[in-house]
Amino acid sequence: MRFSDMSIGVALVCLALAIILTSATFPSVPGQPYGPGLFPILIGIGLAVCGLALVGQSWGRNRAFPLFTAPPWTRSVHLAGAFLLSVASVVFYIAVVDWLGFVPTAFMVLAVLFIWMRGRPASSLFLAAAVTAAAYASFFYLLSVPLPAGILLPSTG
Amino acid sequence: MNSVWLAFGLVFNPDVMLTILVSGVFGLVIGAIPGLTATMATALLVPVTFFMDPIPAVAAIITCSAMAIFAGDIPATLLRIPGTPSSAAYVDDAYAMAKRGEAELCLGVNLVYSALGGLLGSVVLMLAAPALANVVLEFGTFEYFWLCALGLSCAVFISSSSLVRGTASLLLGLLVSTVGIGSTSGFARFTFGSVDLMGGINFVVVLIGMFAMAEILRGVSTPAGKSELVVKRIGNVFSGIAATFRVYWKSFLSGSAIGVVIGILPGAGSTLAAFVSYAFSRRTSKHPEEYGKGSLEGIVSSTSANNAAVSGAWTPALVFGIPGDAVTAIAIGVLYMKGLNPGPMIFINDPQNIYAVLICFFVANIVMVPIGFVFIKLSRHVLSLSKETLLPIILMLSIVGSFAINNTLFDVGIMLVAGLAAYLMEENDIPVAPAVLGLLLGTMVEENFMTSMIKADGNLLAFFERPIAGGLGLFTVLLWISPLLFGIVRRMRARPAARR
Repeated sequence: MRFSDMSIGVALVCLALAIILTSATFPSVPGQPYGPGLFPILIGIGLAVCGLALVGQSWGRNRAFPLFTAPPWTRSVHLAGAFLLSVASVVFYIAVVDWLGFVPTAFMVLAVLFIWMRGRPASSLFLAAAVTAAAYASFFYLLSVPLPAGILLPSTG
Repeated sequence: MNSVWLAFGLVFNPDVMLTILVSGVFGLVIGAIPGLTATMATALLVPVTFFMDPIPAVAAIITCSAMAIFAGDIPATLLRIPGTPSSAAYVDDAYAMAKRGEAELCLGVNLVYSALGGLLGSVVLMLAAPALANVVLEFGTFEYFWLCALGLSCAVFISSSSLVRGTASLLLGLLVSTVGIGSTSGFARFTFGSVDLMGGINFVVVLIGMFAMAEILRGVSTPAGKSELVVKRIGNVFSGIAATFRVYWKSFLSGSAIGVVIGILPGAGSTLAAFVSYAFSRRTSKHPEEYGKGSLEGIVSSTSANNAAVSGAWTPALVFGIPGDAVTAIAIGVLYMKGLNPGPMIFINDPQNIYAVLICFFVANIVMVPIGFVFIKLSRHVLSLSKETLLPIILMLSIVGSFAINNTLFDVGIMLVAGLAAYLMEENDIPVAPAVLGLLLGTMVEENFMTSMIKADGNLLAFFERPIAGGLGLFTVLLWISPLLFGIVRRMRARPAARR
């Protein structure tokens, strides 16, 4: 997913402006000449300079370059699906794990990813179950991480 | 002397030994699998070290990273795919040797010289760190500010061919470090009213995102390449090693020395160390024509360099709290988490802990030889694991690992965002290392900058008044304007040429 220097530069300048404007509103500390806004403002100025340099460079080259180039994987349903499913599975995990509990959520996430990427549903389901069990055993029992119990398992309080 | 014995007691107990063994095997597996890096191995290990005592936690990180850097050589030799980027410099030589039927010798050289390089790096670390710590004791806020500035500038210069992109990456890292309640003012910045952001963004969670999640996204979206093992059975890897030392001891020493120095520079780690020492060895070799076609000399030099860099990177990390590479950046996070705050004071207050860390380096590099030997024998099975099977498992480890740091789902979200950000940055040639260093050192830079500004009453010249601060400051400023100076010189040289 490549963006042109022009679009990166413009984005950096916009970000820099937002930082500088926000930081300027930070209250100063009584008795101190330099407030909490100083450091972010300096960062903002630096980012703005970088952004302008990128814009200047692509202006100087003066040749047509698309603002955005799609990566090769977008042309393959299998690869694009794997990319999107990986992102979606983290979002799905965050959304439902507290309600559904770790074991079913992790199993679903792993099963979907394995089946999409490896095929072979039977062995993928088995693998998903095994990995879920291993992750649950090591993090919940060995390391005492309070993984959410959810609706299926009794609460461990 | 008493603290040395204490340190031996801290390291040589069953818990630490078991930790070294397990984390070593973990590092070997991750390092040997192409596409999974030493940094990823370390980042995934951190949530687990969270639940350990300080010394086993640090021992785990040291062992895991050293083993992963070595293990990257195994697929480089057998498949012509470097397991980690650090083995990329000599992958053609290693594979050429394997095709000639010398896979055993090549793997043996990789194993033994990786361990020796690591040991030599550890000796330098052991000698240099306490000496440097004595100097650093005199440092005030001005010196620390310049030291951080110099470290961050090095990272920008080394990590990218584009200065603008490197600087932008650094500034983005610094920006993220300002999120939360500032330590100098107590004012909540860029929290957008979110309580979760008040405490700032957790460094380890960001690292898991940047080095594991981003790698997963890259892995799932690239088609799997077909690769075949050139060797079906691996014999004794140690035969003929002693003879190589008599021929190539100079390459080993120069490679290790280059590795240590590059490891110490912030932002440059074992990958650059391997490339530089490979190039150096080729230039100084009597047989430069063999390079790329199975030159054992090149392999010796660069395989020692990348492991020497692993140890070298710890010198600035322990003495200044400034990491030499991404792995030590993670290690510093762990040190803080464990109350072993790096800096010169730890050498005075907890010498036994520092000695224990140094002993861990020696132990890790020594046990690398037997564990690595067994692992090479079994490597065929590890290399047959497919990416499609591994990446979902690593995704689940990243989710649970980032949750385990603070037991909050918010951190899992941060991990995802950091992963997507790092993916986009790398796709657009914006290096990730400066951002990581900026995020880690941001608070330190800001605190020392603000305190110095208040002390100096806004007079910027005061930043140069103390002798060491002045020297560091001058050097840093020279580094900043060096591209400008080089540009002018180049233009002046080009002009007479154009006239001709």
